[in-house]
Amino acid sequence: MNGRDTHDGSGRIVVRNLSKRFGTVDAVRDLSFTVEPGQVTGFLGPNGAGKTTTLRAALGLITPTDGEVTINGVRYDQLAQPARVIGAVLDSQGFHRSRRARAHLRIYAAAIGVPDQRVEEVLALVGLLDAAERKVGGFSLGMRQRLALATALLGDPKVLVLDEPGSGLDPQGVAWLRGFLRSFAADGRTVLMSSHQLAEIAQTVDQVVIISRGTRVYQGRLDQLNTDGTDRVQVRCAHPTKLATALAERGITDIRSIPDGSLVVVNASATTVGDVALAAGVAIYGLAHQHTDLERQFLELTAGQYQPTTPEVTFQIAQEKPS
Amino acid sequence: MAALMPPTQAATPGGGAWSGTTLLALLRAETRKTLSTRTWWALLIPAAVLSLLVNLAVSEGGGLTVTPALGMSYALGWFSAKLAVTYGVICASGEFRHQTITTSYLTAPGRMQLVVAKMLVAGAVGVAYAVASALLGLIGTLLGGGVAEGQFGPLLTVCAAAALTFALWAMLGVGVGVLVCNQMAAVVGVLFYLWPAEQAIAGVASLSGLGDIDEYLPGEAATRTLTAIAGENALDVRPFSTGALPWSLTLLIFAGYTAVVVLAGATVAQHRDIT
Repeated sequence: MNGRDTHDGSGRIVVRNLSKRFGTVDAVRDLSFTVEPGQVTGFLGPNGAGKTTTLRAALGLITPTDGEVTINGVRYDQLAQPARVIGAVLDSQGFHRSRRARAHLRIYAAAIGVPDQRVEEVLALVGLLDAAERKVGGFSLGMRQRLALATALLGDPKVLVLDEPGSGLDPQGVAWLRGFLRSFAADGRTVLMSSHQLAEIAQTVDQVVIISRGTRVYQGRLDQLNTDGTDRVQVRCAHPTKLATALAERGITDIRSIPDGSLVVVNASATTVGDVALAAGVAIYGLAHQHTDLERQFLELTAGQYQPTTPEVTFQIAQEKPS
Repeated sequence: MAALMPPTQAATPGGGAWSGTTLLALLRAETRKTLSTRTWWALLIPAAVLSLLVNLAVSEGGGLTVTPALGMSYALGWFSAKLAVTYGVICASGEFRHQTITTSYLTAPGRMQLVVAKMLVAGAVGVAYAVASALLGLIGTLLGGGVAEGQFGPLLTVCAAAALTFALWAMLGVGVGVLVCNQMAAVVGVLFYLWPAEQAIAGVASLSGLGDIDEYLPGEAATRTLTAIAGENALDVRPFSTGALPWSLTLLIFAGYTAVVVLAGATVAQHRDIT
């Protein structure tokens, strides 16, 4: 349409060394990742990890302290017709309570420059045709989410960004949204959705980006997150300190104590731990191989977000080994 | 009017594209925004009714000392105009209050374009306030004592000037609303300034020997634009001082304040994080 609009149409989102500081708080620190078209990418992290900040930086709503986010190769503010390129469903996106749903959509259809017929299409798409003449103030949270999605889709964007879209949706709504996002991505478009619950998006996403305390801790396929997990053995014994020292002599140093007095030994088999304990003369009361599932893996990756209350404390191994 | 527009060619960060099509699209959107809630008429009614009552009272009791034009200038300038500025503040700060600003920014090619469109539509609403207030004021005048031969001209001139000052008031309100965001604080702040605070400032200035600075303050500058036009034909204007400056100068002063506030609002909006 004019010179500013020189995006490549790829549908790719690139977050490059993004940092955002609010006052004294580093909301996002040197975050980089890429979101590819044709798949659903989950953006995971605990509350306060920096997800919303990152998404809002991508949408030009906040100015990064450092780094940038590009959509189709250009920054959001360089898009001449942003709503035709990227749609957003944000959690704190508001509606005027006394405005009717259709009137709300017609406002933004006019702003984007799409015909009013498009309003009827998106209303039908999200299943709100029957509620179109109702005031938004009377909408349930789930209906507001649908209306927000309808608004995001007005410009028929190739990229869709959703911040915690599952909140407020009933199980049917979640299932419907999952189906919608899957087909949206299958169409070669880009979906980036954030969540603080892995279970909520596990069935929807192909890729995940996991962040904790403003930095990336994992990016890749969700099914590979599991294999990244390491063997860990939980052991209850008579002298945890003695056993830990003995293990350390064998080069096994990643040992943590957990509140009930047990040790968690990482990267060691139950056999090894048992042999070492026998050699060291430490009585074993319980030995269990811990299965690392996705949820545990996620919690593990994002641990430290709430440092003071984290249940596991790294066991201190003395540097001077008595040998 | 051109003086009020932000520099359109400046490539500000987040500036986006400026074209007739996009501005027209945003003007349509802002018009729809305005008409889809009741704020515009909820404030228009008191503006018009106040004008009716004040004109009625003045023409009943004013007699020969106050011409209909002066009564009208008083009703519009002192009373109805306050609702035009309140409308501007509410329509702009409402976007932040209801958090619709997020979607408004996401669907506009740039923040500055949105502020300009909002300002222009609010200005048009301001003109509507002036027209409605003038019409009901005219009814009040006719009910109260009528209009003598030769008094219609000045009366209509005052109404025409009010259309201009009301448009400026609504735009100034948009500037304040964008600047302050907090709706309650913005509305209370503006009305507090216009009623007790400005008089207090002028009073203190007068007592401390600075002289009569009323006309250089925004509220009085706008009001005196109207009273000065009316005063040119009045017999005695003591109760409603018309001041020393010609109306063209007070109008310019008021337009200057509006430009400053709107530019400040647009500049702050440009860089503010929407979290």
